[in-house]
Amino acid sequence: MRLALHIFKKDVRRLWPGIAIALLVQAAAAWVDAVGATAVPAGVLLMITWATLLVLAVHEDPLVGDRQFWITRPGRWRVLLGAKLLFAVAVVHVPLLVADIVVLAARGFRPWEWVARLLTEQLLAAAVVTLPAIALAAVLRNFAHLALAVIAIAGLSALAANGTPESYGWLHAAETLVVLVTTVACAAAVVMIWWQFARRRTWASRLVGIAGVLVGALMWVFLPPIFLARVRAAANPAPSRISFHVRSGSTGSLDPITAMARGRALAGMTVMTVPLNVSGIPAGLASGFVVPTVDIIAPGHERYQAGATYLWQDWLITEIPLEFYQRLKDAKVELKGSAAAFLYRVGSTASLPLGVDRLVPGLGRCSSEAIESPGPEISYSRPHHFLKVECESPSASSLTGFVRLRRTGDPDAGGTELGSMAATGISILARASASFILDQGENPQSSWRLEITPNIPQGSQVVSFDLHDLRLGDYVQQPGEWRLRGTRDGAKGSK
Amino acid sequence: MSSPLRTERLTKNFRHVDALRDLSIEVPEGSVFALVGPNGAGKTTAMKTLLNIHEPTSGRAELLGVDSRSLAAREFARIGYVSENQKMPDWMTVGYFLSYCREFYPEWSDADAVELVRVLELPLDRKLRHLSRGMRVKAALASSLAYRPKLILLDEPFGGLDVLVREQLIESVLDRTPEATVFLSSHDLAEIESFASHIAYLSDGRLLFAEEMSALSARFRDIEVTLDEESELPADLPVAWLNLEHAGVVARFIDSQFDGERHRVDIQHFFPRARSVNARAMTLRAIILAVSKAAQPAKRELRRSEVTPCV
Repeated sequence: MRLALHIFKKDVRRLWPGIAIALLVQAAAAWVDAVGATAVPAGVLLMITWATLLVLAVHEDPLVGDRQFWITRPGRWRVLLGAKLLFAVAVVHVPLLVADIVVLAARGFRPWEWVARLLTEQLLAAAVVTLPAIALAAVLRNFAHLALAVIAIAGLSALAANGTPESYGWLHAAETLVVLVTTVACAAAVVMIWWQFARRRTWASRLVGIAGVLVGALMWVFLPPIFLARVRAAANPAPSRISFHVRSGSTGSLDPITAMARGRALAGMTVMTVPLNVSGIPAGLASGFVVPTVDIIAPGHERYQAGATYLWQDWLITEIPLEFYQRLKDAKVELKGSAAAFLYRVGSTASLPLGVDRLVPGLGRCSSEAIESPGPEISYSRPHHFLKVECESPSASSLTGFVRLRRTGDPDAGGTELGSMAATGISILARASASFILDQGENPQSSWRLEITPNIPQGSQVVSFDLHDLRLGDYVQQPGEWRLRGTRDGAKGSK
Repeated sequence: MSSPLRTERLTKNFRHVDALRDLSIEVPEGSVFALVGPNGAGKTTAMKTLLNIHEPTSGRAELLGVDSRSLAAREFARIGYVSENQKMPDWMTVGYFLSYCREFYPEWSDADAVELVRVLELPLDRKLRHLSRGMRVKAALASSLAYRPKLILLDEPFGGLDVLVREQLIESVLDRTPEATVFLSSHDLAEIESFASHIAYLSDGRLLFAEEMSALSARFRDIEVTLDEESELPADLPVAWLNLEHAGVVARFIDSQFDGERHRVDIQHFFPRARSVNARAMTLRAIILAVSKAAQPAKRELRRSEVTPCV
């Protein structure tokens, strides 16, 4: 420990100007975060500063090469690694922890209630900055090599991200995928660091790094969304077992569905709607479903893989080609697929006066303001005023809910889901927002009030279903046949 | 007497290059053992393999009784290493550099460090990057002698240095650490001759000889034979006679196994009509040149058995 401290002091003495810059950037990022702004540039700048400092610290006692003066000095590899980790803790992790505590306190959260989140933030910084920077610096000779490696990794990541299916977003699979890929990258980084510091086997360590990056990219491209949904469900399972069965008879309105069917039929598609009984959802919990794939298997093993499929108000709704339907409408088909079920508890609705900043239980701190534009990506042909509602919380998963803008005395209120905002660099706070268009000249403060209802996640489950003996014609509506159909008595369902 | 440094068939290959082949040496305790050889002979590879900077491909080396692959902080605290192309922390001043190194060595002597700084005339407040090459080597040497290492390895320490600096370095090594064993590689044969007690010659990764300097000087002679009349030389001359040249009535060669009585007998046998024989002692430089010349590819296989009496 004495020698590790000695080497650490030497690194600090050498790199103090960079450390001072990092602390300044850290303070600026924390200040931006603490006043409630989105600190993306400061966060990115901070991560680049940290990574650069860590690389410089490792290169102070370089591991690549055979001419360094220190390699014949009596410091064991654990001492050297300890010194570099100490540097990372002192320059990256302690300032980050302090900044996070300050930001939490400044935004009205009690830091001691968020100890687990503070530790998670430390792990995140280690996974995204500390370990990769130390691992790369340990196996690369200089900054030019490092720049090439970073460009190669970034290019590969961009290619891999380009192949990500749209359903990743609906399934919350992207978050799971990021966690899995980051875990693989971290494991590779740990092996690289250990191997290089302990044995100085540069090429072997580089190969581990290359393998880690390739495995991560392959996972990104090839891991099916439903697998990721299963991983997520395993980490936070639903409290009871959910299953689907075909419902005998039918209830409910299909108007939105028929509207969609009409639109699709013009494009050579029609819509199959299967009424379901969804069982196993505990009382008091609401549910949402995502069905990434459904296979329709006709006699003779003819198989059609349906695209967009929805489970809405106990109806399984999928699109099939008109030609497929017309050819097989009297045949009995089988519907086979998987659905991700997300359970949540609807929290108490809180009223939020306009312009007031308030903690909403189960959600986080929310505020609203009238603005000219909800964001650069949205533009309108004529000027509008908007009411933007923004909520923030140290827990990103709790930032789901429904926002209503209600006119005083008016029971019907328009509403919208909170949508998560762009990642705020390495901020401990996640933010979500919703926007409403206001009438010209309207002063929302005088006649409107906001209501926010949090949806508190209660776990998820992947439900596999296999519905068979379905006569296609009984579940498909054609233009001109806009009437509700029931199911055939003989239809069976299984989980 | 135990050996602080020994190797057994130590071999190091870099992909398709055999940088070091079957090196077997034993360095006596307290000796100044010089490893010489032309550029690319494998001297630096040998040094780095000894210090576990490179892992041996085969064979083994032992330093201070420990296998080179297992060298740890305890052993490095008793080994000093200075290399001409060592990468130093250039941003450090000499003073900070020495105080930084101090913490790594339990046996570090501040008094010795102060004395080394004085003797080597090191400017404590100058950054290493602002020092001349000679001064940098001096700083490295000071940092490697202040803890009185048992074994000192010097890789081409004198390259490009002026005579005065070389003299200072040699004196420092010999005076400050009289009990240490010194193993050094060098091109500078004249300098080596003045203070090395043992010498080994490496060529193309292979050891050609390794022995005490006095024994080497004793067994090499530059022989000039003047004959009565011009005549053909016999075909079966001793293999220990190297680089034979014959012009008119004069024949010249290097006897690599010179031994007064046997030499006289051989001369009488092969040159019965010799009018005069002149045997001159050789400098180390002349011996090395003779051996290098004899070790050229065409002659190498023929001569090797005679000129490789390794210790």
